This record gives sequence, C-alpha cells and structure tokens, in this order.
Amino acid sequence: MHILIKKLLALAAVVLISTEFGTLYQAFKSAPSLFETADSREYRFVKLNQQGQAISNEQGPWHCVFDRELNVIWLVGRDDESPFDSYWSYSWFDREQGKGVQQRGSCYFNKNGCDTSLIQQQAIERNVCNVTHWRLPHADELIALLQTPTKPNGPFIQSAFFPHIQKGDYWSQTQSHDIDTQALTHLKEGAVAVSFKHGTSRVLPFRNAAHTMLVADIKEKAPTVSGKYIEIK
Amino acid sequence: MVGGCVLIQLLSGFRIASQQRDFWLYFDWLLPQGLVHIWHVISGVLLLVSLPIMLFTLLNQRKESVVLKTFNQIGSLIICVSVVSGGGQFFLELSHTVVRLTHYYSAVGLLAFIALHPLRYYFQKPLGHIYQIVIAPFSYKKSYLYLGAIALVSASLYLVTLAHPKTLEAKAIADNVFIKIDGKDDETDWYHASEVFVDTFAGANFYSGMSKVSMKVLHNATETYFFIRWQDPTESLLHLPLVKTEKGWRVKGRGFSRFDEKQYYEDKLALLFSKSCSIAAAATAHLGNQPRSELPANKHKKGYHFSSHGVVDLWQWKAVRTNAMYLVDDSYIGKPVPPVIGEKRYTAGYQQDGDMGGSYILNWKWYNSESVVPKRLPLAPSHDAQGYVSWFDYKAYSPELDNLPVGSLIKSVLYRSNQIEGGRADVRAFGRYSNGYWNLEIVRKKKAAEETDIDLSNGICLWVSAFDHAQTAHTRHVKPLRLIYKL
Repeated sequence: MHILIKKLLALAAVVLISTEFGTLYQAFKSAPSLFETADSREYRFVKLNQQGQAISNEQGPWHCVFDRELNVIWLVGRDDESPFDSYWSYSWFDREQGKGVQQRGSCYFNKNGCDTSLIQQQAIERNVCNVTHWRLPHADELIALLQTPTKPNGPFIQSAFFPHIQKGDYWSQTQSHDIDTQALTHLKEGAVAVSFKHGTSRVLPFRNAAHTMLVADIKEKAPTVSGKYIEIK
Repeated sequence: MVGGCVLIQLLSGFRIASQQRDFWLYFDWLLPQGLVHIWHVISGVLLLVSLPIMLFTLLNQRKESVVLKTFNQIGSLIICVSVVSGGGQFFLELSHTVVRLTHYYSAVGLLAFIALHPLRYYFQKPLGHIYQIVIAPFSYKKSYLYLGAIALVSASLYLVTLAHPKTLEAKAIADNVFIKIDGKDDETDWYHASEVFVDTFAGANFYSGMSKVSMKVLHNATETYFFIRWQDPTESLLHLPLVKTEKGWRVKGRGFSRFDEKQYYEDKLALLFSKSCSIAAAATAHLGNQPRSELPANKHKKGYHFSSHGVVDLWQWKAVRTNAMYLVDDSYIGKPVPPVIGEKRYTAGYQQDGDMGGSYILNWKWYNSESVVPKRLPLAPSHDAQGYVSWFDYKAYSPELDNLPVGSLIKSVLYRSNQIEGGRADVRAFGRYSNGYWNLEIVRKKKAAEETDIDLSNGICLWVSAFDHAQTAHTRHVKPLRLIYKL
C-alpha cells in the first residue's frame, strides 16, 4: 500500500510537470529572439501621435516620428488626402529669402499649385504634433534616413515608421549650383534632393516637382522614453 | 524504433491537424515546429516498413493474460489503421474525407492507447519494461541489421515516391494562336489539352475544407498558359467591409486581427512553382507559432512560409484585389526577411515582388479591431460592399461629410489605378465564377523577368491551393505536380 501511494505521488508529479511544460520552458528559456531583443532596446525612432505624445511601436495612427539619432522630429507623410498626404509634390521655394520657384508642384489644397513654403506654412498653422517650428531638412539629415530596403524594390527607409514614403525625390533646404542633369544645367541653381527609390541624392532645379518631408528640431533636451506616453515639445 | 516513430507521428500529426483544427493550438507549447510534414511522412514510412515485423513479434512471442493481450491487439490494430490510412494519403494520394477522418481519429485512439499503456507497466515492473523496450534490443546484433534494412527500404520508398510525381503536360500551340485571358476555355486548343485533377483538402470553408482542382496547360515559344477550375460553393467578393455603428466605423471580420480571417474575405487561388519537388510546398511550410527562435512569433500560430535554399515562385490570384486588374499578385517565398520594428505583420519568407506603384489600397487609415477611420466614403448611401471600388467613385473622408446612417456598409478595396506596375504585375490572369466553380485563366512568359521569379521550364514542380473566403487557411495537397512541356 505504501509503495502504491509513492507511485501515485510520483505519477502525479510527472503529470503536473508535463502539463506545465510550456510554463517551465518559458521560465528557463534563456536566449531571447531577435525580434524580442530588437523590440525591447531603445530604438532610433519613436512614433508620435497628433498631440505629440509618444506611442508604442505597435500602435497607431501616428503623424510624426521622433528621431533619437538626429534629435529631430519628422513629419510623416500620410495617405489621407490632407495637406500632408505624401502623394503631393512641390517646387522649391523659400519665402524668407524670396528664392526658388513658386507653386509648380501638384497638390489639392492650393489650386495654383504647391511649393515647399506652402506646406511648411500649413504644418505650422495646424500645429502638427504640437510643433510649430517645421522646416525643410538639410541634405545630410535626409541622407541619414537612408537605409537598405527590407524587401526587393522597397524604399530606402524604415518603411514601418514612414509607411507612405514615395519612391521619388524629397527636397532638402541645402542649395547648390551643381545640377547633375545636363539638360537642366542652364537653370544654374537648385537644391539637393534625396531619392528614397534609389537611395541617392542629386541636385534638382527649384522648378522641379518633388516630395517633401518636414522636420523640426527638439528645442529642449528630449526626455528619455521610459514610459509609453511622454511629451516632446 | 516503433515507439519513437509513433511518438513523432503523433506529435507532428497533431501539429499538422492544428492547421484545420484550432483545438490543437492549445498544445502549441508541446507540439513540434518547423518542417513537420517531412518528419511526419518519414516516420510514417519507417513505421509502415517496420510494422509487419513488430506485429509478428507481438502476436507470437508475448506471454500475457487475455486482457492484456486484447489491450495490446487493439493498440496494434489502431497503429495499423493509422499507418495504412496515412500511407494511402502519401503513396496513393487518397484524400477522401473518410480516409482523412480515419487517419485523424486513429491518431486520437492511439493517443488514448499510449496514455493507458505506460500506466499498466508503471504499476508492475517499470524499470524491467523500460529495459526490455529501450535497452535490450540494442544488445542483439541482429537488431542493427534489422534497423539498417528498415531504414534502407524506407528511404528508398520515400525517395522513389517523391521522384515520380504526377505530371501536368503542357500542350504546344503555334505562336500565332490567340488565347484570350477571359476565364473561358473556349479556344479550340484548350479542348485538346490534357486535364489533370488534384484533390486539395484541409482548407477553411469549401466542402468540409475540400476542393477538387482541374488544370490544363498550353504553351508557345515564349509563354505558358494555365486554365484552372476549382470547386467553390460560393462566389465570395465581400472583402473586409466597413460597417457604420453607433460608435463609428468598424471592419467586419472574425480573425483578421490575427491574420486568419475566415468569413469576410475574398476567394483566392495560389500557385507555387519550384525547382525542388520536396513535400511541404517545396519544404517551405514551417508550421507552428515560432518555427525558428530568431523569428518573431506569428499571431495565428499556424506557421510561416520560407525557403532555406533559393526562391520559390508564388502567384496569388485574388477575386477582388487583383481580378479586375487582370492580374495575379506575383509574389515569392525566399529566406525569411529580418523582422522590422514597428511592422504590423511579419510574413517571414513570403513577400510580394517589387512594384512601381498602382496597387490597390485598403479603405482605412489605421486598422484597429474596435474602430477605424475610412479613407474614402461613397458618394451616396450604399449597402453593397461586395467587390472593389475605383478611387474616384468614392470621396475623401471627413467627419463633416460622414452623414451615412448607422448600419451602412462600404467597400474596403480601393483601386488607385487600373493596374499594378512592375515585377508584381508579371502574370496576367482573369477569373470567372460559374455554377459552383471558379474558372481562372493565367499566362506568363516562360523566362523569369525578376530575380524573385523562376523560369517555367521542363520538370519544375508546382502546387495549387484554393481559399474560400479565407485569408490564410488554404487547401493543400501532399505531392506536387511536375510540369512537362510537350513539343
């Protein structure tokens, strides 16, 4: 009888361990997966919602991205036919300097056509992501966004954070006289544009239509993202 | 060895069953992951070859009480039924419901038998029995001879079976013969093309998850034409419609949030081409929640498609999203891509070919299972949410313009242009539903245009899978077809 009880207890232990195998496996699993490792570390980009609050990598929608590496906020192009739809194109124009070509791009919110100063003005007026100092990025800032596509023929950017990026040229504020295209050299002056289709940059004349992704500096020291909700102003 | 094979059979078998029977997903932590189809078949062939020896031994050498002998005989019978019904599916490609249910329930019976089996020994002389079963056979020199012979016969049987898949003959036509891609096989040459039937099974919906598929192939100097016809009780064009509720818009779905929608989805058909003729879709079907530890887990726990060697070409025809574009979505299965942080759905090796724009888009700004904001709204109230809509037939959404009544249904598939452009649009196709069947006509150049395509050359193997208003739960067949070009 004594032996039988012992055997029953041992059997119960075996059943318990085998049914809780999954729990034990999780507890003793040492090496985290690549995905877990990548997800838990402080990632370069942080999604910001319309109010400028940080949200987790899996959440949405988001309108801006905080870039830890450059310490700037990017205004993310959308697919909603708003002025910030990434489909629209703009000629390069700087209102303060009075330099460039006005209203030669294609967009719906201005019947006469669009230029970079117009979209900048829209972003400032609408206080997108609680930010009012939007500007055109420098060429090196745009180039710093380039990365190898994760899929064949994909864009040269982290497309999970910039999902509606167009496979075309994006304006920078960096001006240059080195227009590459021979047929356009007579125009003499232009600005550097970065192509997320080819992962390269070139100088385009101001009158060209290209896409725009605005950027804003972090005025104060950016807070560390420790929780899910922080504010970056 | 028999014990080991039975164990592999059961664990891999229930993992395979979890593709169709969600109950087994509760045991996801226990069941093996990866290329379990291959393990299942190899252990099954070993079992089939060794079974006669085991049965002979069992029936002749045991000195047991009548009760125990009957118990063991029932167990042996269940193993026989399981192995024979499994062998029928692999060697003879039997896929009738009776065969598959017999195979499944014999496995469940075997599980019960095994659960009772050790208990009996445990309360008698456990160590003695373990010695008899596991250790003692290795002390006989003849055991190694038997094991070697069984392994050799099994390997030969497995390889010979796979080396001779059913052939699909492509009939030659002159270069000036015009085949209209219209979902009709009314051109004379189609009547003279040989027709091959494939019984596909284990999908969602259809007729108990089964659909019989017929295929015909024509070719000229540069192109190959396919005519595929498959059973489908319903023409499903209702693809994730948006419904207006008191709280706003919501996507209708039962499983879409875990990428396993089985109700509000379009019909589809997938063709897979590979230079490899290995089972498990050219060894790309890696089942389980996380088939490789370095990859992220998948939400539906069913598995991933990826290839460890080379590219497998995958064409996916979609009744709503690509049919009106006269295209299939040209995709491929390659090595698993590295996971990207922030990506909503990870698909491992399954990727679409590159495109130059012009794709369909879905009519919500950000998916949330509770509520969404549409991108565009119909110009007038509508309850017809079947099919797709042209971008310009809807107007841009704004809260002020959203005066549609509660209960309104709108479409989710927006065509932003007439066609996809680029490598993703290399394969032209058109499907037509008629009398319980889809009829699909496809054409592609023989020569691959992209690195992510493969040449349609003599001897390549292909698989076909149908989806009945299901996102990922497709039908399947065990062995491939081999494409042979007749001159």
